[in-house]
Amino acid sequence: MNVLKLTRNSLGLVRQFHVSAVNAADVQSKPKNMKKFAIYRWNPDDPKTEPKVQEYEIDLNDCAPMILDALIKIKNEIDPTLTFRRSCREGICGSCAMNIEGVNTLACICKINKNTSKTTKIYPLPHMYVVKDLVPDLTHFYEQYRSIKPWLQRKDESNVGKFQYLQDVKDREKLDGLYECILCACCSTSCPSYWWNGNKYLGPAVLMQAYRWIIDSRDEATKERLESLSDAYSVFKCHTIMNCSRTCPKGLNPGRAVAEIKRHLAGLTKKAPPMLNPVGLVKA
Amino acid sequence: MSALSRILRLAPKYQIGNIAHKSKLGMLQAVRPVTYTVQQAKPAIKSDHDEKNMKLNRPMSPHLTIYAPEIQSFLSISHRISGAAMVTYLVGFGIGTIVLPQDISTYIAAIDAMNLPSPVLYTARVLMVLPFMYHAINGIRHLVWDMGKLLYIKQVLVSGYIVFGVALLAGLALAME
Repeated sequence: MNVLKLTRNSLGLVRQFHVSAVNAADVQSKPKNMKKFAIYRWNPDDPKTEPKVQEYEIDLNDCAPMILDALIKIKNEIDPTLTFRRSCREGICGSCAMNIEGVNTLACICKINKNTSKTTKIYPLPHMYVVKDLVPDLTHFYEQYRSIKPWLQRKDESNVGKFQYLQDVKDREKLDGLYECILCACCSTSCPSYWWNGNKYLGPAVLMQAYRWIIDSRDEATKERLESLSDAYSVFKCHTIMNCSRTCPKGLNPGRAVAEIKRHLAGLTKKAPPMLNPVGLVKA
Repeated sequence: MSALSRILRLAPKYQIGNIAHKSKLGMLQAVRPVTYTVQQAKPAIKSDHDEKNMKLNRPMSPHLTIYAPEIQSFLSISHRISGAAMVTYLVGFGIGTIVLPQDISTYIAAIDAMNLPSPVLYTARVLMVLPFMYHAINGIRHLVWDMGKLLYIKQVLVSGYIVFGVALLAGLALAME
């Protein structure tokens, strides 16, 4: 009996292996369709060796359709030392952001190019310190995100949690296309300005979130938020190159958000007063 | 009581020593009073991001060399290059008027006298006029962006192709004799 107690739940604990969505019988009936992947490698345990590009060849008829599926297949079947981040496999966590065929995107929602005569090149996010293989160090990026205070700020926070802040549907609509950002850093690391001035320029992803809080009708720190951005680097190192909006895997438009912040900073536009009093419920 | 005896059993024997055996105070003999003082939390020491990564010998991932050449970034760098070209002309000709002994018509006549083949002359004229045309027209695109318009990626790409096409045609046309 005690043994049974010990083994309780153990089935759920067995480590899950990735099982490709390809039917085994299908694979055997089809001819092999080999495709080459050239992947950036660097091993921190061997710091003296230079980074290199390693080629792998896999059968596309025995692989699910996305780049992430190919990476997992390589890791499972060819080279277990290949290192990359991944989690949700459906484009919502942002872990598997990398540079695929020259463009930053999420490996999990990027289809494998079926043209087998072309080698697909995979690099880590550009101009980032590499922790290992396809894993970049995002510490600085997150630190910049922290610096814009990405939370709701009210002048009077004594009643926090006692009632809801009201927001008109129209005011809420202004946040659409901004709040969906998953902070995968694809846009920031596609931006040449961020490559050259990343220590002082905040980059499109962080600036879009800054804008998301600047125009939130419930937020009262608009002035302070804008003041903290009003130097020569934080925002104005953006030269409207628009690599960010081109590459965003979620189809968002960080370039436009940055342009709008510039307009606020230049006094060309002003935040409209809230359509509904955010503390309208406090008396009720 | 049971909790105390458990603590006694967990404590190493040597700490308790003989006192624990002899007296009935037991473990209490070995207990040392500790006073906690409240201190301001020290800020975590943040080593500089670059410093830390360089210490770890981490390489910088490749960027300019591997990123796909795309129209929007090409037009952006062209804007800068054409601006730089114009400044070069401006400063060059400006210094020329001060330093050179004759005025510019003498040198134009001299170039005329060299009887250069017309494609060479035409290319030279294009190089003079195209930076201006492109920089001026793309500058208007930048002003439109600063007005908060044409900022969706489709509009950016279409306006980019139009601006480049118009500038190229205008430049080539103006360079003709």
